[in-house]
Amino acid sequence: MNCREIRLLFSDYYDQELSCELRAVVKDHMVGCPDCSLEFEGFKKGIKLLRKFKSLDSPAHTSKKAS
Amino acid sequence: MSLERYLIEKARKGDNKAFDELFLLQQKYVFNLMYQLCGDVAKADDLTQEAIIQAFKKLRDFRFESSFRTWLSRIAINLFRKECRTKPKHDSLCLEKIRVPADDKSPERIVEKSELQWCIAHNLQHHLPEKYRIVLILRDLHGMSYEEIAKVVGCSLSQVKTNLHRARQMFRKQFIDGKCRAFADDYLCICEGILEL
Repeated sequence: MNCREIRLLFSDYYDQELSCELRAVVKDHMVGCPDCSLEFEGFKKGIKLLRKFKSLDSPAHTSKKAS
Repeated sequence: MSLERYLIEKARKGDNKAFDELFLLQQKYVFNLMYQLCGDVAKADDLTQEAIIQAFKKLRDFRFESSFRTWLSRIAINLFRKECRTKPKHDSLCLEKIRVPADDKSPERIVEKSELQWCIAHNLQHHLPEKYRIVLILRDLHGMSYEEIAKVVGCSLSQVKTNLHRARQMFRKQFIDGKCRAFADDYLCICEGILEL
């Protein structure tokens, strides 16, 4: 697989949704490819950043309105 | 029998207290899902309320084929989609409208948090198409499995994977190319020593 194909698998690789075989292919590729390795680090940081989006407390009246 | 199943069965028999308990368990989740999707507290509250009313009316149709949360998410997401179709938004987000959890009293930290929260909300609502935004939020903010997301949005597993991959790439790219990068870099540097995205 070339770099473009490997990068298309980042999302599934991150979520551990790849087969063992494909997972090993991606992992081996990144060991020998600093560009893809760096790209994957950036990919993970994007997700980490999104997770900074905080939850809010819901307005207290919501549940009461339903009943 | 799980507490959830017990409450659902009691609520189906007309026990209003059981219904309240059932929705109390999911209320914060639904509200946040709606808030993260639409970026407006008042609208999120209205959508949450409407989702609860619809779920109450349809409770007899729930077949325990998915978790209650997945079923309720589907109702809420459909309402959100309908809202997007019927009321296109005209107002842009402004920093003052972004609510920040008050878990840090330092004024500097509150400003930094506000800016970052604003950037995330802005990128989600203005730079990600609805179909990408939905899968991204369900997966990365609510930890739903691919299978659950497919049930909620009503598409195939492969479509979920494709959309999630594109959504993650798009979200990150917006931060790198957009003005938000400054806030993100500052925030991550200060908090976690991460220097670049």
